[in-house]
Amino acid sequence: MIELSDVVFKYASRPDKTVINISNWKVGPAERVLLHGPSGTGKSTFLNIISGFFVPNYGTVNICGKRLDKMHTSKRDRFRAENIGYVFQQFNLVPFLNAIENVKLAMHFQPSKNMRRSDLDDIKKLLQDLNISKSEWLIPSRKLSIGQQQRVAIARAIVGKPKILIADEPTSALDSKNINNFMTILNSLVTSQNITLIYVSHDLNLSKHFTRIEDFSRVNIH
Amino acid sequence: MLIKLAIESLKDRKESIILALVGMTISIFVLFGVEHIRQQTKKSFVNALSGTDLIIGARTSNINLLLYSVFRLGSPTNNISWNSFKKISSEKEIEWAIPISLGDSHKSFPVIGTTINYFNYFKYGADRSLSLLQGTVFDKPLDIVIGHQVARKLKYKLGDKIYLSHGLSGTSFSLHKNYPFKIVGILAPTGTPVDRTLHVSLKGIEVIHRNDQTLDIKTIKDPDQITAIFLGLKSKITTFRVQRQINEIKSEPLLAILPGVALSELWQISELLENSLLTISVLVFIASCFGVAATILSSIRERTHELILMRTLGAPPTFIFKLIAVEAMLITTVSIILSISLMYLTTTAFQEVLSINVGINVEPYLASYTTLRYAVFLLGGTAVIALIPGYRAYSVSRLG
Repeated sequence: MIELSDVVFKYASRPDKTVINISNWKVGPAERVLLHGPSGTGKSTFLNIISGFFVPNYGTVNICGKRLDKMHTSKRDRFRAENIGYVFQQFNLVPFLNAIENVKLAMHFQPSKNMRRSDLDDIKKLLQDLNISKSEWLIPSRKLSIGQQQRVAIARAIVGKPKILIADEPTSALDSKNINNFMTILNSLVTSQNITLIYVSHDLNLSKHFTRIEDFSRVNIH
Repeated sequence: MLIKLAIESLKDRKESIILALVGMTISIFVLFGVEHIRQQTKKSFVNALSGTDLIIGARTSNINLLLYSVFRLGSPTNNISWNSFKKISSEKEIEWAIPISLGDSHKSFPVIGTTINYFNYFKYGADRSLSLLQGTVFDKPLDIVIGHQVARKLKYKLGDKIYLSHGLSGTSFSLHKNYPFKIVGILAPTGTPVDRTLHVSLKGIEVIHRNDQTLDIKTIKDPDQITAIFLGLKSKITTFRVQRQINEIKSEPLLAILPGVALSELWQISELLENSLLTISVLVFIASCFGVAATILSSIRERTHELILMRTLGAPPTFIFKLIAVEAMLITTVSIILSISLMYLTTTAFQEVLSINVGINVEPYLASYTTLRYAVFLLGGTAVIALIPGYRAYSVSRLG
């Protein structure tokens, strides 16, 4: 599903500093991987590489059988829209759009999955599954609580049925009750849809939700 | 989705966007206003006279003669003797001649003295003759025929008695109280200076000028002098010859002009002013374009997350670029629509005021082919200026 070999990445502004150096790293289908490690070890850069924002200076990035490092920018944009869901630590939603519009916006960028009438029902069902009550569907997302926003973000990230879901510390702004709630829902959706999950967090208490725990500082030898 | 997103995004920043919108609307309003007045002034001037081959007056400049004889603007430098009129009008090339005598007024509206020929031969617009809405043309020295606006503005009706004053000011002291004039006819609207004019016979003008209580109205004669003559020729081919003959008359220094030629001389002068006004309004528009660009540009910093998020969802950088451009274009589009409505309202509201006070017939503004051409130009201009915030957003979202 994800395979990186001999990947080296340096920022153009700091060509002397290697940020990412991964000799070989693989993730199989439907694996749920927790990546942990101290700040500044290049986790965000790494996520940008596997989601196709950054192209490594050397090495191969193979996602779902496609060489991302060989793809043209516009093709990578489309590939990302169709195959990768992404949940950030915060700012996951367009603040002035409501929950439904935010999810629809994500679908808009998936050219092969044109919006159908039944999709709106799917969106509503998904929001219900994520414990977002009907009264919260149509208010601007900036008015939702952080917990609600993060759950709408999951809906937005998985509505296009991606093969991979990347979550970059999505629970760091939540309290423990909301974290558990979030993880339980995330896990059940990811498992039922056979999505490969790459989850970055400092919080090792979350380990029980994952099939594989990785210390990023051992993955990335820089 | 792009347009919906742009609309929602603009609505989300209502306060600053409304200010930008107001600025833009005012600038487009000014632009449309200048253009409309320009067109209407030209149309007004062009429509004021038709079918007259030559205008004759005392020697002055072409434009001055045209302005005072046709548009009642400015004042004549001198008069023409009645003998010259008789001589010229009896020439074989002449089909008709209308003498006019200017210099008197009624409550700021100009009074002209003329003959019955005025109602028979004077034409305006596309060869249209004057027609009476009510009553008849003048017959006796104290009969008066008034223009449509005079009747409307002063609420005059047939049979009303009015006093005329010597001079053109509305507060003239020399009011001829001895001889009231009786309104015998009201002309149909023409959209030309005729609407603002009161017409009496030349004998009527004599009555005003003599202002003599012992005057016997029945024995009054034609005046010794008139102000100008409108001439119609039997054949247009003779125009230049007749013009030269009149200009060369030894007994009196006269000037004969072709109204069309004088009008184009007037355009040459007014074009300078028009172009300056148009340039200023285009500059005002460009300034407000930059205002819109600045408003959008300053919002991009706070929208960085939103733009990056869209990129994460798979939006190509060009989508971000287009989003910003569409936002700017939407502001301009709404401003154009608002300006057109505003123009319509103001021109409708001020039509009469402009017509009476400035003498220009301004029709209510309606969107036309010209508006469409301007709209294309305005949107094009906006698109160019939108490159600035568009590129900024593009580069912000590209860096990730």
